[in-house]
Amino acid sequence: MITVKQVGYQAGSKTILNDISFTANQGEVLAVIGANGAGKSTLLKLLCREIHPTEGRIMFNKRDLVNYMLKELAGMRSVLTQQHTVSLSFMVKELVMMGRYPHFDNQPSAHDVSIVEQAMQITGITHLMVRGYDTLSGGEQQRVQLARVLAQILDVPGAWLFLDEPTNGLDMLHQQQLLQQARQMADKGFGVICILHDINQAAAYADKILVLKNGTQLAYGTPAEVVSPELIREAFGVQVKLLQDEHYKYPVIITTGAIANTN
Amino acid sequence: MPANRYKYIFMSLLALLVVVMATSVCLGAVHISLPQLWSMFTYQIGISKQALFTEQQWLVFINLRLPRVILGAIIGAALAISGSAIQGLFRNPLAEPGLIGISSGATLFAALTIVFGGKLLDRMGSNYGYYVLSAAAFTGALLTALSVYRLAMHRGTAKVTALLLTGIAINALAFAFTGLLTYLSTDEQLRNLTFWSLGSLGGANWVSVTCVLPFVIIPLVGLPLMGKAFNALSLGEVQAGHMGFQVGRIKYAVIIMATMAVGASVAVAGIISFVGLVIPHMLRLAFGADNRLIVPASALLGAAVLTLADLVSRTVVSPAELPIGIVTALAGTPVFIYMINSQLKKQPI
Repeated sequence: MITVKQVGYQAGSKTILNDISFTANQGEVLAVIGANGAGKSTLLKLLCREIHPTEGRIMFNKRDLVNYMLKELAGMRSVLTQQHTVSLSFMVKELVMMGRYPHFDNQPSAHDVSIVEQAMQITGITHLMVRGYDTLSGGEQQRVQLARVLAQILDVPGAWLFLDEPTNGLDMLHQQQLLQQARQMADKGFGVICILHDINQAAAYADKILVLKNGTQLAYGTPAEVVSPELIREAFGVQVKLLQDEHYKYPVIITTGAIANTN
Repeated sequence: MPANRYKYIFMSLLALLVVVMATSVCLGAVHISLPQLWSMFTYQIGISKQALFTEQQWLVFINLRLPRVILGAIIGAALAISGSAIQGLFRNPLAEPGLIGISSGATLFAALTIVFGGKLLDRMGSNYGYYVLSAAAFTGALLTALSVYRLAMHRGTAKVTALLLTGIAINALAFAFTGLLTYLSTDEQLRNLTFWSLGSLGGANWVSVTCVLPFVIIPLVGLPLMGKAFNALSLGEVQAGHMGFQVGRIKYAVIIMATMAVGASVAVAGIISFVGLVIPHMLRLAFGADNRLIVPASALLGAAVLTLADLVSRTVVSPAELPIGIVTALAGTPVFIYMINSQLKKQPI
């Protein structure tokens, strides 16, 4: 369980996040949505302990995040960032094996190798395993990175997966596949926290949605509680319409094109 | 599977190093044949009672050739392993120890010592003077590397681009001061400076070997242990942090170890260019990017290549000697240009 208690973050005199509180559980997907500059990435950096909160506390399994060793954290959560440039030309399987680095000293064990194979299977990149990473397309690179991130925690029950806009640069099919993979990870008992842009995707795959606006917490709850035309207008400044369809158990929105005057 | 492959590569490189060292020890003004070399070995450890070599050959071997070949191997290993480590740390395959000021700092301090410490050196005698020069060069290397590091620090982290840019600036400054010193120096000092800045193993003896060895052993043992960290760093510093690597400490340790190795090498042999840059590249082109292989393999290939370069430098214009820096630059430049070319073809910018 991750508990975020009244967390704030200031860079110099600028407040980037203020009074954020929520709880994320294993077995659930938590989607973080919000307009550009709302503080989503800063929140993820705080959760990764790249930066420390200037106010409030973040608890991992009831222990303050600052009290963990970097190595312990690497064994219990893995992070898919947005940047995927790799300065050397590794083979795909070598790169996915890097996900196992926190788990072995010199030589990967047979177990590490099999985890890497599983991760490549889950993300559908097994056929790329002997290709050079720098010869892959952007979408393929994204999936290789996801495989690496999965390999890091696949054998750790109750571990966490943090994804920063993971669907960026993927085509429709691979976006759906990636979100399904995230969903399946949650169903297996992992915790998933995922920054998303597409509200419909968030509503379809997440158990909880956290909405940020200008560094404050606008809403936190289930998709049904959170996704409403009023809230979307307030968070994004966009006029939307809610579609009701008996076949969908989650809300679906479409933009109506009009830009609301919120400010 | 890769573990076995790596073992073969290490064994082959080691074999290459042994062959090159044996060849180098045998060739020169006083020729030693391979059977004689073997006889020296067996005679000295007492297996054989019969000496198939002359007294002169033995003296040349033990007092001149062997320390020189060993020094060459040590320095080649030190330069190449530091190069591979710095390239790994800076996520830039074109980086080398010189970029963060190690070489220029060493040169500046050596020049200061040669120009202003002349009288002091004379009074201390050649042997002590030698130590003073080495110590000065090492101090200079350490001071510039650390000041570049400190200047590039911002909010507790040193950004790699900031490090490289600061390194370039400090390099320019150090070269300017060194240039200034050449104006102030006498003809003899100038010759010393020139000779030193082109590099030479001519001063090799057992003293210089034992002088350098302690500084080189630590990086030779320490840096190969960081292969995994270098691989993780190639994904990015943030990403390496997510994987549990303490990037700040790793940076500090690598810079200190690279400075130890390069500073000590520069101190006894002057500036030997291109080894640190080119050797890791040749290995990457041949065997892939895995730093767990490249870093230790660089030490072996660097040792072999520098031993060979020294053999060339002392035999090609014999009885005179060519500065080894000239040999490595002459051979290294075409390789470097080829590397830049293939890099550009891959990602044209």
